[in-house]
Amino acid sequence: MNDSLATTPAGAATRPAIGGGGWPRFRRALLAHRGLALGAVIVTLLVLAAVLAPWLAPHDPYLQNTANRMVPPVWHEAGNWEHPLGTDRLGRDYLSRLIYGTRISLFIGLVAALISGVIGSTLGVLAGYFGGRVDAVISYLLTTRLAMPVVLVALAMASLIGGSLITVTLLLGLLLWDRFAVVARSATLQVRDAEYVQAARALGCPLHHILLREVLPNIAAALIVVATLEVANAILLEATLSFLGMGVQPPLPSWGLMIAEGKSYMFFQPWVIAIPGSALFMLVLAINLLGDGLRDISAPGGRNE
Amino acid sequence: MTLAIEATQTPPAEAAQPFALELRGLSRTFTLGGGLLRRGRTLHAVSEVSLRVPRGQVMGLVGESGCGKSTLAKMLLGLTSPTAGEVLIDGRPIVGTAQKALARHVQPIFQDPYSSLNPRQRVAQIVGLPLRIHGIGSPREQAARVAEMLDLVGLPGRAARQYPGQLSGGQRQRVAIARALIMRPALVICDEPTSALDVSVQAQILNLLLDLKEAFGLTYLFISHDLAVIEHLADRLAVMYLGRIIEEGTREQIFSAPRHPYTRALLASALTPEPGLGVPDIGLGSVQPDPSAPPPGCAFHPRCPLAEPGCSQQRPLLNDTGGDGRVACHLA
Amino acid sequence: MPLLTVEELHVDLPVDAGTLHAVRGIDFHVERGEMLCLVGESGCGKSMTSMALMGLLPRRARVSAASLRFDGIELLDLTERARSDLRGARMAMIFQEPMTALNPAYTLGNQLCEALLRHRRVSRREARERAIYLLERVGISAAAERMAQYPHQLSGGLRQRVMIAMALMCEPDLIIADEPTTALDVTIQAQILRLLRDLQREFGTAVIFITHDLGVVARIADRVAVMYAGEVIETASAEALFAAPGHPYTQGLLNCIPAPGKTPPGSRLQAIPGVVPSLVGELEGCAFRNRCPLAEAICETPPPATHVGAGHVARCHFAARLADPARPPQPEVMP
Repeated sequence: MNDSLATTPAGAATRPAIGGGGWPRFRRALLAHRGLALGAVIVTLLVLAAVLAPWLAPHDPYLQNTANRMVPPVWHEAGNWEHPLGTDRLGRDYLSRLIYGTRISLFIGLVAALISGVIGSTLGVLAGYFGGRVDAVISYLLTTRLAMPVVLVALAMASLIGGSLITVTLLLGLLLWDRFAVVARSATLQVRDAEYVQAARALGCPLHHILLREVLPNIAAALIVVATLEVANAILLEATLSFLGMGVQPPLPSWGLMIAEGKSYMFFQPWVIAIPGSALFMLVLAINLLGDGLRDISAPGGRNE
Repeated sequence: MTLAIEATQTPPAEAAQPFALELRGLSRTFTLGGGLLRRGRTLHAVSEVSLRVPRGQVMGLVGESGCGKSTLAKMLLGLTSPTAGEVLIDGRPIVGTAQKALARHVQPIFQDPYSSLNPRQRVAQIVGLPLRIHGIGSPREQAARVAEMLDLVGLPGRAARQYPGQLSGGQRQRVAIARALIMRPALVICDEPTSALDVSVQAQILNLLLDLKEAFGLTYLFISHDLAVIEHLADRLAVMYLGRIIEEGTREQIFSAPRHPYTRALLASALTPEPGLGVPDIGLGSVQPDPSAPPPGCAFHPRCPLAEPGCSQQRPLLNDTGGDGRVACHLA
Repeated sequence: MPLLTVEELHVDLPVDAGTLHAVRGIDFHVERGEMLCLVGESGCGKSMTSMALMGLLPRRARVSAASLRFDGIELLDLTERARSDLRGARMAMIFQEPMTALNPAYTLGNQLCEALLRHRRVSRREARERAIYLLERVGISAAAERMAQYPHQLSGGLRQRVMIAMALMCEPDLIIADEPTTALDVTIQAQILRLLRDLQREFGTAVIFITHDLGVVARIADRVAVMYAGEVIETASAEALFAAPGHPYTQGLLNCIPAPGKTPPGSRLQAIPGVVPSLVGELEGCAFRNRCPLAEAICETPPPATHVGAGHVARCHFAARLADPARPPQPEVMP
């Protein structure tokens, strides 16, 4: 057995990682990484803001002060440093509400994506792994779900049950699983017949081991990308629902609600909607940059070479 | 010698079984293109395969892609259930055996070491998995068994901490072999274990497989399309064509006096490194077999250079050749 | 004058860890109408070489050469467009997996005629006639009906026949065949090889046949170039190479294959120990020395190209000793 001096670290030597694509791909990868870094920085900052809101916010976000209504931001000639981003129509500090609003957006985004991720990945993995009738039933569910317009269904349900933070989160969680299911199903189909899955089956591994230890880690990269996109999606939908009055209810400082409350002032005090609008734009853009970057760097891998 | 004769004469149920593997009329069909409402076509992947592999021997299984050899392997491993017939391992039918119990007796080594190892697990986890699943030994004993096994297959100790992506093709195949053998199965199904490897590495792996067979008294079912490898390794050899065994016998019989025209063509098409011989004319037409629509009668007759009118009428049975072999051909 | 002369060809690829020197200064030539086999294991640079000759390398790859001369034309001086004209008309390629080389959206007839219509002044009817003629020549029955079929309607063997017909459409001077039979069953492989060999002789086309299979090489090659770690380490006629290899790597490769009559069944095969060195970064001296049974201190210097016979060149310090059939060197028996 000692002819096996095959002990030098190999890898690159035996299978040089030569992939096609050329310069455009390389440039794309570079830009993607830059986008990834930018997205990661912004998301990290916003998460920090959400976590540290009680210390960062200069005022109580719910404290009304009718004497101090509609104070413009500091860069405006009538603005002051007491309220750097001004106050709203009830005299509440806009910066504090914005910071606390990060909590709501991130909470809804993350929890809704988590719920839909669990539902969608489970369904997708089962459909992909078992195929046949299981796949037919799950695909039917998926088609049914895709036939429902998310906003309309969410609006209808919210008006039926009554909008609240929990309602919106649950509704979105129960509605946004389609992309997870589609991606998990197709990724599982590719992995299902891999010889390492066959080997695990031949070892008598129980089903949960095969699905959780052999299949899931190998489709996780794709699911993480979907997750980031769904977080952004859920945040936008929450803002939409809140804007329409069927989402988070006042006095909670949701960004969508802030825009809704400011909409009657938008012609004379445009900052009232510009500020939460920009925050929303930044957060969603950053999450999408993160997701795209993750997709780009995880795409060529798979064989870890 | 006398022992062996006695063993075959006593009823197989009680006596020590001389066959590590026995297949009785094994068949498997698949339905193609069927949906919820329409019925698909039936594909006979494996049809009435009967085969006995004596313990400690290497049974070579050759045939072209689509001949059913991989489906056959999956049935032996319990990964696909047969539609008819039975598989006996050490004389015991595997029907009704839990996959976990079966796993202790038969293990696979797959073709592609790039896909047979989970890229997200370290080598130690991969090789130790059988022990963990079957709850053999304490974690410390398991680690010791893994280290011992890695050493046996010629891998350095530090390989245990590496991921498959950090290893070369040959090293990965060694990992796959270590995983297959750590529970000391009696029967190993080798499904083209060297065809994805470079020539120089192939020799290392073949040597290793032969050494391990000696060391552990293993029985191999060795599937390959490389006749030089089969001739080097196999004691017996079965040739499959469109789901059926068409010839079976000892290595000497088949390589020196093949009876079936397909076996002859197969042997003729093996290109040994002998310059000057040129590429042989193997006499098969350009028709390629379609497993989902096998020809009537002898499935080989459209390509057979010797075919007679009767060959398309009646399917030849797999008959004893008188010696220790069987062949399915009207003209043999 | 040879049809193709390659001098000092280098192909470099940027990778994460640095630069991968996939092809490291190789020289070889192809005579008109000959079958040259380029043989080596995965990662030895044989496919990169063929891609460099065809001008089909990924754009990030850097190619340099002292000379890449095809029928008196310096390929490196050509514009992309002139290169592309040459590629269709006078150089053709056959790939390992015909399914990826054939466009699934067009009929065989369309794809066969396309190159001819683009590069030659022929009518549609003439192109169609030639396509049918060639399909018949590659052993496809009912050629006229096949013209209307799509690639997925054919079996792997038939597709590879179509690829050969397509390569012959413009009567090229050179065909580069990159492992054209590796994905096929052995019986089909024998048929395709025979077909390729017969047509090559009949049409007088030169072929660079890339393979890792020494059995195939022995049966079809006029001359052989053996590649290892990005270098051509030995060139010889097929007879000379198999009779008296002049490089220990070639010898090792030949010993690795179980050969009926030579290696007793069940005996240990001679293996080449170790693995190929990494081609990322610089390599000094003989690239094979870490696996070579003959290696000595001198092997740390670049081995000279040693003539060991007529047209037989090996890059090894011990080539002369090795290729002398009277005194075959006995490497120490490996454990």
